[in-house]
Amino acid sequence: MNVTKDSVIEFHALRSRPENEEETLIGRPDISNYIVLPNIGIEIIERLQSGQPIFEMEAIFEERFGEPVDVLSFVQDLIYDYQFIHKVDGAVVNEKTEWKDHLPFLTERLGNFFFNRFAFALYALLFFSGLAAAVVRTEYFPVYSDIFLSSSVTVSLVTAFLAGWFFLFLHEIAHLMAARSLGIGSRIGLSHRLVFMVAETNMSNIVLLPPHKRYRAFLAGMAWDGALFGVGVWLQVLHGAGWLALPEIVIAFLRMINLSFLLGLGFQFLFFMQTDVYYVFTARFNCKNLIHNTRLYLRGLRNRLDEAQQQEWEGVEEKEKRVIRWYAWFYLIGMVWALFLFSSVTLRQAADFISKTYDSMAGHPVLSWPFLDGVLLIALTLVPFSIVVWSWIRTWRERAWKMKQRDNLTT
Amino acid sequence: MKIQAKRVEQVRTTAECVAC
Repeated sequence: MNVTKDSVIEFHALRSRPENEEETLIGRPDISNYIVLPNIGIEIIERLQSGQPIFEMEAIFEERFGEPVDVLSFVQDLIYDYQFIHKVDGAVVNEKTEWKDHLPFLTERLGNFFFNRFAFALYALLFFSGLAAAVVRTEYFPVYSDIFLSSSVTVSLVTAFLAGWFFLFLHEIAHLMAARSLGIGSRIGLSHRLVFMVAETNMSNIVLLPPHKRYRAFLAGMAWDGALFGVGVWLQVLHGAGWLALPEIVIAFLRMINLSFLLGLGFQFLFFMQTDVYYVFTARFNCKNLIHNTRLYLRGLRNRLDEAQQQEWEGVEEKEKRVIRWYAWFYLIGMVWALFLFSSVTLRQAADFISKTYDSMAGHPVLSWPFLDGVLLIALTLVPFSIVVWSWIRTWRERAWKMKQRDNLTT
Repeated sequence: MKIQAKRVEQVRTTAECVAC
């Protein structure tokens, strides 16, 4: 597929937002691909959309700037790198895709009800008062053994598994509703961060809003988790004071989910991965692509950048580079620490648990309760690991497919 | 003159499940 200087170019639907006087953010909302372009780039796109051929533009710009402007190679970038262009001379170069919002019945109004300033203040009050109560009265502070709400390991783990998945998606629904309240649609899915399984809400079109308007959507999940944690502590306090009689099993359940909420909130602060706190951080410092550019920086320190990467690094804003120079330390130390923790704690615990369960199954016939019980426990333990592996494979495949598509188009 | 674009990262907020 060749673009020539008189090719007819047809674009996908694009949306944009001026960043400042010199630059505009522009992209395809259907695949959430966005870039920031200098004004000249935007002008070229507008001229192409109105049907002006490339050779005509190059003549106009050369006269204006006193030097040749490489419009043709920019158009090639728009096709291969950013996929903004649908057809060249009538031939499809990037297929149309349809973006479908998840849970469209959760309206903007409902989102506004749950995620306005007043609601956030209430969530914060619940969380911090609950945390203070648990610090003062340490018997309400979560401990590791809270994960076992029953003397039966199976009952405990099945309950924790079901509650874990329920509250995981509740967290994502909070993000989705808060983004919806800002007029942004999202999609919920499963993925990985480093070696951890996560549920994620893709709300990439939120970059069409200025950074200070995005916080609501980034903080929504933690706000609900924190508020529920606070409610859990206060219910235990009321029960302990004798003002509210709750069955022991309910108290045990509250302790289990409170442990899960607190660890989940802690996970968000590991901002060397793309967590909620990471996005708050990038919005606060107006970074466009912090983790990607940090990786470029670290490769650059080892002189491992190819020409395209070198150009990309040089194009990063000075402000973002200043953030990267100290963020890179968090990134490196965080990565090493998380991998160490994962291999020495998470993996080892899972392996220990599976081998103990296997030992307790041995000697029982296949169709007996102890054996089936063991199969269930091992299966539950393997679920998150399987999802991480599946997510890795999906990421590699997408990357390979993109490379292949690029090669097909450029030959 | 070459026109240099800056890539903007995708926004995918997350939750990790401790009990899953």
